[in-house]
Amino acid sequence: MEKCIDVQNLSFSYLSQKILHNCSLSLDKGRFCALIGENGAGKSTFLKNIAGLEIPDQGNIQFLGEKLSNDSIIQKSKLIFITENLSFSSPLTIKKFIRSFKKLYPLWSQEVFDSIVKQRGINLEKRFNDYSRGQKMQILLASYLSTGPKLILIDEVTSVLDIHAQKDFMKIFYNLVKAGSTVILATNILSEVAPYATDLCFIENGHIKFNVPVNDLKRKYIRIKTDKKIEKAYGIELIEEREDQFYYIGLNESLTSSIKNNSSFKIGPPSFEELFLFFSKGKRELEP
Amino acid sequence: MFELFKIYSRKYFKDALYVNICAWFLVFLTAYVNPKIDKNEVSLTYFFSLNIILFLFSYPLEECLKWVLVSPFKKIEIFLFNIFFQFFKLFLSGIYFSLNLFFFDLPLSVEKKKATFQEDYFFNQALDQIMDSRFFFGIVLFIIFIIVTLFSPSPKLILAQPGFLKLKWKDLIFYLKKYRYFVFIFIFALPGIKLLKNYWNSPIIIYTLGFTYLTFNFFHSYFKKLKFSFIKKKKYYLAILFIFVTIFTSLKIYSNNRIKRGSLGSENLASEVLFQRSFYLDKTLPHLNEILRGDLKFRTFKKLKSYLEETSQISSLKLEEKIKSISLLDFLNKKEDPLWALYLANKAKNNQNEPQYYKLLKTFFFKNASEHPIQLRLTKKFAKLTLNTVNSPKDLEKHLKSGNKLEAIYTFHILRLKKENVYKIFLKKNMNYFENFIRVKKSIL
Repeated sequence: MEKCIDVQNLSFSYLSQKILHNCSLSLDKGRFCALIGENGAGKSTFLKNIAGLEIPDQGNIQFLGEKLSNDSIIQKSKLIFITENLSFSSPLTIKKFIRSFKKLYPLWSQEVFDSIVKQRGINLEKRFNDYSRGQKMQILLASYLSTGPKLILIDEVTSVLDIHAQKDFMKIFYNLVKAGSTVILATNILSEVAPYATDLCFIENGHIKFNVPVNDLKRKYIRIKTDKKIEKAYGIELIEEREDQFYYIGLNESLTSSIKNNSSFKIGPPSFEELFLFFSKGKRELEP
Repeated sequence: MFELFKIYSRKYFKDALYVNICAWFLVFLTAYVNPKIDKNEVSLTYFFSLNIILFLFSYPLEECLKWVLVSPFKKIEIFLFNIFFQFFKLFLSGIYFSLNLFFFDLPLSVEKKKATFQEDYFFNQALDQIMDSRFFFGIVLFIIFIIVTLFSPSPKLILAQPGFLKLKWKDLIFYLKKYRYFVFIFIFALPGIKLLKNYWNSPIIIYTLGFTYLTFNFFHSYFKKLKFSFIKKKKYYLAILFIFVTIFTSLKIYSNNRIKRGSLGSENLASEVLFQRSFYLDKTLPHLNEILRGDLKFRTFKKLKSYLEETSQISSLKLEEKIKSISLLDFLNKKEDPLWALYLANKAKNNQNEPQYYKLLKTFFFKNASEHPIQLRLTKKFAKLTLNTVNSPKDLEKHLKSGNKLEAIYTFHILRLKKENVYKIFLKKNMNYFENFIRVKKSIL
């Protein structure tokens, strides 16, 4: 299958400080990748480098089989990047603004735009700055998602949306993914993306630790919940202690039968948050 | 680009309308509070100050940059839109300026001030200093700097640039290490090591380097903000160095050619020599005779003199001897600066027994000082310097009868400075005549 985005050895530094170190990420079409990492890990910077908002020091980025150039109008019309800092400040109403905006995108779908706007109850006769922060984000999402994008880069915007808007837009992303688009969503709210993400990419201190399909991760690692502390010798790691419950993660294949057969242990696939805690807390590497 | 213009032109139009209505309202308010104010001048003050602030700080790119960079616009399109929009702002400002003049007319006091040379003198002198060849190149770059400011992103966008203000020492060391060979190229690409030896002698170098940095950084910040990828390439920095080296070298070659042509007057030749001091230290002495005999201005002479002394080409005494070796008639032939008369009078203090010399000098002074902005002050000084050339009141009669205002004032100062009674009597006798030109204090009598 043709890759949608293929990033190889991307490095970026800001003045003398290196932010990204030889980051590589490859996604096929129709994938939904959750980009997770601690604050300051380099998630936003990574997305900005792909979107052309930063110029990488080195590396190669291929988009739909061609080298990505931030001067190629054709490529830019198929790629969208939505971040909290975007705005459509203008004296025009949203309706009049969109009249000019949509002319930039040959694949613009008025139907998609109208349906999102109707679903979210956005009044197009108002100006952008007359809306609240969350509403502005909804307008941006509605505008950009209607352009028929092949690659959707989203940088932690869903956190400003209310719960209903979060669910609605996640469904829209998922539908776009099913139609063949690729989404990379950088987020700290892992629960919102968990039902939809097909791939998980973990970034730490400017290094991409891994980028694997979620199903593979869930097959490989197991979560154990118990009300008693377990010895380390069992090959599992404690990741969290919450409400008198202990949460452990370990490799499925190295789990001993004594744990598997112990009825007091609740065993199941780990959630995104648990995986995040596992890999970030212990500074672990993904097992091959 | 047209879509961008449609989106943002309305914003600026509304902002400009609002600002100018405020300016006009302020004028009427000020006139209401103080009916005696010059409405014309006040209206221009409010117009320029408010519109300049609007021009510099109300700019669409700051808001639109965040989405245009990720939208299907070419960088060059955004760059051109910026230029085009600035012209639009200028055009709009021009319309409002015309309306301003239509309502309030031109300030009358500007016309009155033009007639008062005394008030303008120091301004003119400052302007002369700035236009001097020593600062010329810095001014050229300064103009580039102003133009760049007008057509680049707004100042607050520049100031917000990371790297413009927040540069740390470790960042500087990092870049010095990364581009260490550029540092060597920069040093040796400069026009000769002589330049470094004399840099303290040339403020133009300091200005040039300063303005070069600012101009470069403004352009560079622009390219950075628009995320042009060429700024990460070494060729870009080499090209910048090459451009500046070419400018420096071309100016030097152009200046050399001007001198070689031999068609320059002495004032222009001296200015050219002084300009060249910023580049290479060629020998000036071969041109010195030609410079001294022409239309050289006194202030240019002073600069040339200190330059020649600093570079040990000729001492002050030898220069004075050289001037003395030229006959006064030849020396003053093409000159129009009355300050020469004061200089020569000062130097010739020991040659008081040459009446013909002083006669020529006085003729020269009275002929040329009448156009000078501080003619009165110069006349007083000249009187002091030539005090001992007057031996009796009869020597002053011809000045009195000449009908020339400056000669009358000169006579008055001579009479005032002389202690002998005979001069006091002469002064009292002709007081009515002097009072036509000077407000005479009773205490003098």
